[in-house]
Amino acid sequence: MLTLITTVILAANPPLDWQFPGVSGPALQAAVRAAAGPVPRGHLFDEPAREAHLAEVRWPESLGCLSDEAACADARRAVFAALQLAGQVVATAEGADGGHRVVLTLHGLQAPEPQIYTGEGPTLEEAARDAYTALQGRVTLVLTLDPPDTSIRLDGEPFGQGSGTYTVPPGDHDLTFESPGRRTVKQPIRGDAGETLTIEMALPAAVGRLKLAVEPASATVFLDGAKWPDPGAARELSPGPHALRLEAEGYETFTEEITIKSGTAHEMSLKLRPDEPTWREALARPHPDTRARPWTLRADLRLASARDGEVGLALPNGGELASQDLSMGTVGVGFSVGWRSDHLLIEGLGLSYAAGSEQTGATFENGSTSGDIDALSQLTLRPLWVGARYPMWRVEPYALAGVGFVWETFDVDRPSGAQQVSDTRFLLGAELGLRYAFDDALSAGIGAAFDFWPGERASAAFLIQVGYALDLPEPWK
Amino acid sequence: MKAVALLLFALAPSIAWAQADADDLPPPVAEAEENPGAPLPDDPDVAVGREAYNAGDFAAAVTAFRAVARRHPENPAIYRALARAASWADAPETAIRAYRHYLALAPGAADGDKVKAELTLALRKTESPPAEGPPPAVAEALAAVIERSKADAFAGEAGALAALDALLAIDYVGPELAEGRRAVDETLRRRTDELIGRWWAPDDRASPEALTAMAAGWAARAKRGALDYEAERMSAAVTGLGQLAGQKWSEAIETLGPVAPGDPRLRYAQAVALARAERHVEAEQVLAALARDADDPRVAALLGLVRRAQGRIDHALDAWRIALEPPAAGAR
Repeated sequence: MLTLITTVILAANPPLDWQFPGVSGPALQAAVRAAAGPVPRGHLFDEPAREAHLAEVRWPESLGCLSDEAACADARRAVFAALQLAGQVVATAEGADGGHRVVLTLHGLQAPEPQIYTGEGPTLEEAARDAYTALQGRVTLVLTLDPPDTSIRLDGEPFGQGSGTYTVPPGDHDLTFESPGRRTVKQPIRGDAGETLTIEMALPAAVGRLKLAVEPASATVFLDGAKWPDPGAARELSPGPHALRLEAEGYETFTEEITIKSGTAHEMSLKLRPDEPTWREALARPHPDTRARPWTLRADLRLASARDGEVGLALPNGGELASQDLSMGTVGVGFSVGWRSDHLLIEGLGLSYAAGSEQTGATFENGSTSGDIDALSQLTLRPLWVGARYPMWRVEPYALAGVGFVWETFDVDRPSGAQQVSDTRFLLGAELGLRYAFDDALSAGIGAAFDFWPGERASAAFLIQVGYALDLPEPWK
Repeated sequence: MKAVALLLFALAPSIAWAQADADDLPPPVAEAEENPGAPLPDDPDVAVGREAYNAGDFAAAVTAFRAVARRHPENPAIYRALARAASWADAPETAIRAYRHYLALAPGAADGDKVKAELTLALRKTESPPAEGPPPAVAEALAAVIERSKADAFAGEAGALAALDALLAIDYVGPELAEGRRAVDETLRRRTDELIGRWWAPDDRASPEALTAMAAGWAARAKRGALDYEAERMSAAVTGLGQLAGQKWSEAIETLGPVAPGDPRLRYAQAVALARAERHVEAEQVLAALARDADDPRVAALLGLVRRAQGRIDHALDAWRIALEPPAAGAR
């Protein structure tokens, strides 16, 4: 978790040593002493106060820059640190425009540069009071910052940079500490005139924020491998790459590496894509078994309907079978040899035989209806049919078309006696169906075959098929 | 016939010299000593070489003069002697390099023209004279010495002194050997002085690691040849400061004691070590002496602390009063 280390220490600070060099020193010392009031705390204005402080100085734990154990701005700061002083004020006075000017030069323990406060007045006392107020009437900030070059704003305005000693007007203020790659931290302060505030501030590493809107809402979110129970609430993350994963039943898992930027609020809407149904996915790809072997042998059981229509055959005993007046059902079997590629289908040497023995009305010569057809048999040859197939998983719809020849025989029953008459016809046919490959050899299916030509006597058949796929023996390839 | 040809070939340098200077041959080695601009080094092997040369044992003379040149690689006269001995010893490559070293080290020598004529003759004696400048191995080893010295890496296998060892191990004599030694010694001295300055400067620090590394550098240097007085002083100073940084007070006192006089920075470091070892009386003596001359408030501040540690508060206040005196007007 982020750590913010901030300590504000009030009072109990080391005192300032005062020096009044020069011939005007004693008078100026008295004037400053008067301006400071009866009991000035934290100031060593005179020798007794200085001696009282120094008498308490003990051997320090570290000699600091008195012995190269630390570095400081100059040798004087080394002395201040060793003698436990916050710094030294050198007070001087000079004449100015008929009056006096007092200059107070503050050498702060940690300030790299001295700070100068001046006061002017018709008398030395007033000039000293003016200068002392300028010095004392501010709050001293002793800042120890990490990183050391942290930028500082005072009440929103640029104020300074880096650790050191600063002064600000008394009252309430907002300090803002900023540094690249670190979180910006605001620190409210309140200081009275003459007070010293010590602030130690370590800026934590900057973070970014991430918030997700996910659909479906039941999706489970993992961030850097750990479950994130509430992705809808913004979360602080260290800058850099993070692994995001969303999972939901029935949806595709989403995985992505996202990059969080420092100080940026990232909001992402993520909608998971539903999974494809298994069957759809399966159907999208043909099973290798459907393409394993190119040659096929097929047999079928066919239930056909030989439709009514004009026949026009002369009967052996005289007369004519003019037409078949009603449809007749037939049952038969068929056989064929085929070759297939991915989508091309060729079947040849198709031979089928179907027969029916249903008594069916017929019209004879001169429109006579005395008599009927007792049986019909059809032997059909399909020499070469061409078509297409579209395997999906193990299921394969197909269509074939071609020409054929039919040898058909009618058993006619007339009052004059039973007769048999045969005919040979040319046909144009088509077949549609659906097959299922059990493995790379065996398949089964159903289909519908339609024969046309000539005239009105078409037929339709329902087919139940079995098939066997094979490779040609090596010498035939 | 063959013997006559060999004899003429052996006498070639003297014939050429005779043409150039009309002197008798071979030249006496003592002539070099008489040249006020280029005396031979004060080395016992000079006499060995001279005797061998005058006895006609030129190979022994080359050996002796090379030994002298390795010890005094920037003495020009030894290269002239070596070159002449090498010419007679039928070692033209050695002679050519030695002549070149002489001319480079003594560019205005009175016998410069004579030596150049000898060099020309030596160059005729070989079909493949050595290239100008040091051999690549020497140049590379010297570059390593200089580079490592600049990087303040002196001790250890990757240090400048190890590189100097490698340079000296090459079968070569030339002023580059002195250049390598000088690069190490001068850099050690300069860096050490900078380090002592950083220890003393209030706004900078001499890290314990840097002090330790510099002390190790001096120790490694001492193993390869005696240090002069100033080098001994610097070695002890940096070692003592390192001991001080390592809180080895007694060792620091012992090390700094002999070398601190004359250097206020080291005197102050010695006082710090004495104070930290709670030898306050001795520390006060050192600091009081320093305070008489030093214009640094740290001396007075530390003097006050050691007096305070002895319970002499009034004397401590006297010192601290001085320490806190503001600088003269115009100074910060």
